[in-house]
Amino acid sequence: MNKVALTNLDLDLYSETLENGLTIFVIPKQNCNNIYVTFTTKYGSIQNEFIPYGKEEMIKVPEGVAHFLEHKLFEQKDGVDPFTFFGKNGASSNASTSSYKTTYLFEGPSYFKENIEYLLDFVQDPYFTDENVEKEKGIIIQEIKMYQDNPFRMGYERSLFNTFQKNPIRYPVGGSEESVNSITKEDLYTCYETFYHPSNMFIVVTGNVNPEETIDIVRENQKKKNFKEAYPIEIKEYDEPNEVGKPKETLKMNVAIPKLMLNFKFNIEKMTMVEDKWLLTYLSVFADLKLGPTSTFQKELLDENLITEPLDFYVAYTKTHAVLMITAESKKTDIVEKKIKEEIGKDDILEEDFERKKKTLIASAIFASDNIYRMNNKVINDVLLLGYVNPDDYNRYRGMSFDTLKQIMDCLDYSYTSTVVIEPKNLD
Amino acid sequence: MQYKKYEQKGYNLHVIETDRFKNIEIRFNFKRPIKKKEITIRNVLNDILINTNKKYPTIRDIEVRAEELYSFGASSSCYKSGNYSIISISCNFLNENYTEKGMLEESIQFFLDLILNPNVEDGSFAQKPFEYTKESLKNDIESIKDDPRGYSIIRLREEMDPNSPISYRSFGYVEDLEQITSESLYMYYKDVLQNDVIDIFVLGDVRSNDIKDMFEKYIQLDRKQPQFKMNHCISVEQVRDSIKEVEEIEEINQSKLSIGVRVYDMDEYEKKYTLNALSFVLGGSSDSKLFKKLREENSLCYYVSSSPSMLYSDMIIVSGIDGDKYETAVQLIKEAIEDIQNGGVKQEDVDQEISVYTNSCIEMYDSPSSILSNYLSHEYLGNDFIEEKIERIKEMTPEKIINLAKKIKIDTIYLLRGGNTDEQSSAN
Repeated sequence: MNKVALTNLDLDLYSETLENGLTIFVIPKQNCNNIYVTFTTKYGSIQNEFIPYGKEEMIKVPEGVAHFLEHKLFEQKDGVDPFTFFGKNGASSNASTSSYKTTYLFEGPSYFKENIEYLLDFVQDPYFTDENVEKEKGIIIQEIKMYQDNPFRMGYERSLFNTFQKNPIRYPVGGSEESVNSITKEDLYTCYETFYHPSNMFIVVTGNVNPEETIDIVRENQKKKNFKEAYPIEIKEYDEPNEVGKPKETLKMNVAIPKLMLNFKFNIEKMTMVEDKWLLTYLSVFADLKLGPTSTFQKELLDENLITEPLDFYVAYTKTHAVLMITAESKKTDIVEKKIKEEIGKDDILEEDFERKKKTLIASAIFASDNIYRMNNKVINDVLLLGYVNPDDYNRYRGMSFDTLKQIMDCLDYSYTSTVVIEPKNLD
Repeated sequence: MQYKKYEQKGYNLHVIETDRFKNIEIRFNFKRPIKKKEITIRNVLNDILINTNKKYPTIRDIEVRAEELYSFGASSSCYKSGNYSIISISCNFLNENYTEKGMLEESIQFFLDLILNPNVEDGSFAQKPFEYTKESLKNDIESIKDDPRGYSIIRLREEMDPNSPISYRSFGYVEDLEQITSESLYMYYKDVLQNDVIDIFVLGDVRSNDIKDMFEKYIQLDRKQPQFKMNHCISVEQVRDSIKEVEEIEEINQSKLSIGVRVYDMDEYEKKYTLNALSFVLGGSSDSKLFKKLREENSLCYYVSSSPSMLYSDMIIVSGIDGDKYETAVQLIKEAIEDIQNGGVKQEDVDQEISVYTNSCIEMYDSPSSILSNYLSHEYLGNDFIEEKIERIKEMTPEKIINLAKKIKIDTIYLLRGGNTDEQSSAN
């Protein structure tokens, strides 16, 4: 078992990797009541072309299998619903799928041993039948339809779809009605066997626990089970071009104010000056400085009555490309788009503004240390982005340099953009 | 945790001392009996106070100052609490032990400046920020259909209780917004300072007397704290002869069903505890009757839930369905209610509710804003403190829930049907 202090946060991180490859992370926090546990596989919607376990040829599964699997793992042969089990122990449970991971979780202050064992057991015991797969399709299709009525979600999904040409990050995580209808129990078992091997998974516990006891419980639980040998998983690599697939699309939805989604696609293969996690941090800081609430750009948009809400930013990433996704609400989306494109390339960021942003990042790390959900998410994100958990965020934030920011900005090519505009249906 | 209430000149100051958290949270509340024609101007006031200030006239100025104070966060919310309208200005910042000496006083001064030192000249709010705030609120009011699920609940309440504060729209009305001038807004601001009940809550690792002294330094209110006798809770006695059914069409993919269930004649325990328990058993978890009937057994939906309201003496059931399944969904919901009325509540259901409720109380101690909200609800609504809640929930029994279920009636059903709005207009 390893122990490392998380600098300046009054917290320690304990970890251990078991014989079967499963890694456990624990961040104990004694002055709190609750316990939050996540169990994650490094498998999400992006891995839909791969070599299945024990086979040699690449296969492709329909979009939405990872998410479908997430739903179906809650089905148990003995008919006991995991939600019921956790509910009886006063805990609440949930699951979520994203591009790079699927996470199963519960939270609750009591019955910790029973709850964590049950979490491991139900996720490691798949039970799919033709019938129970068929039944889930209706539910998932309703979920997809619910998202289709959300303009921000639709804008996000369509803009990603248009920005990437080959990488499967372009498909909605849940898939489409057609792809969901085509999923079979064989697809689910294939993906399960390949991606749900303990060596591809990790468990993170944050809150009021004893770290040694926690790791013992997980170790004992896993010892009782047999797993096949672990093999490295081969995922298809894509030759994603720098160009976007579709530069412009307009959607008509039931909205009052038009929404603009403007994506800048950057090739990051040459940006090796910092690890990916910090590259994404620098890109977020860059967007915030250039276009965020403290920028003169936003003030200009407000003064000209072009927006009434601040712009929103998100950075999506793949191995080869990062996409800065900018969202705005405006009655004049074409002018806002034009102004952003003019502004973004200007080299007018001041060092004093950058230093002030660093203060907010440091403050954010301290705020997060009080919150067992945020600490848990930090571990998950580090594992996915870095392959390990960085214990020294505090000093890394302090050590961020204006020079590095400038180096990164010099590498950015703003020519590859993709825009989605959502307009009201009945324009009077 | 130590709680001290100070009855100061013109306001109440509540200080909750606790060393559990690294941050400090403050809430400054203005409260008065709700009037339909005042909702909109209260929203404008609520929004403008954190957009502009005498010392920091633009959003950018405020944001830059907030970043200098190590990510000081301010927010405001204008909301209905039964018979009352509340403007709540909040802030959150790190304890100065983690940042820099002097930050506590500087943050409090900045916060109180936002509220008490408005950007006013010659009897009017500064024109540019005023126009911006109005426009922003107008967009919010016009965008309520962007969230069809929320919109269906708004419409349900308007159909169910058209003449009561229950039906008033939280953001206000465009017709009223158009009448507001920068002058009338300032006059209303002075009215609020003179005639609203003011309660200030401070929570964190602080000394009550220091906080009291600091607030005395920065607040001078030459008035007596108003007293209002009216209760927050609204109860309706009339029983409808037959269920009111309302249907409207919007161009959305998934239809949204909202059902208002009226609850009659509740005693104190029922209002505070049994209503919650009934709603939990009916539709408060993935183990509930509604979830099992509509989603698990019939795959009709992805979400279905019920939420209780002590303030309005009712419960609202919501679900996203295909429009052509309306009759089936309503039938199943009626069956779920009848099931409970006919005794379908077991001891294990009650045990689960007690367990979940108790744990959520225990978890409240992990969140500064939950603790603060608890003290607030004690002050405004006479709700029990967290420790009392944990004791009193133990009195819950299946009979209590069944007996309360016999006092409920479906009052109004609203369906926001997904379809072509041309059909609707041609029907006119």
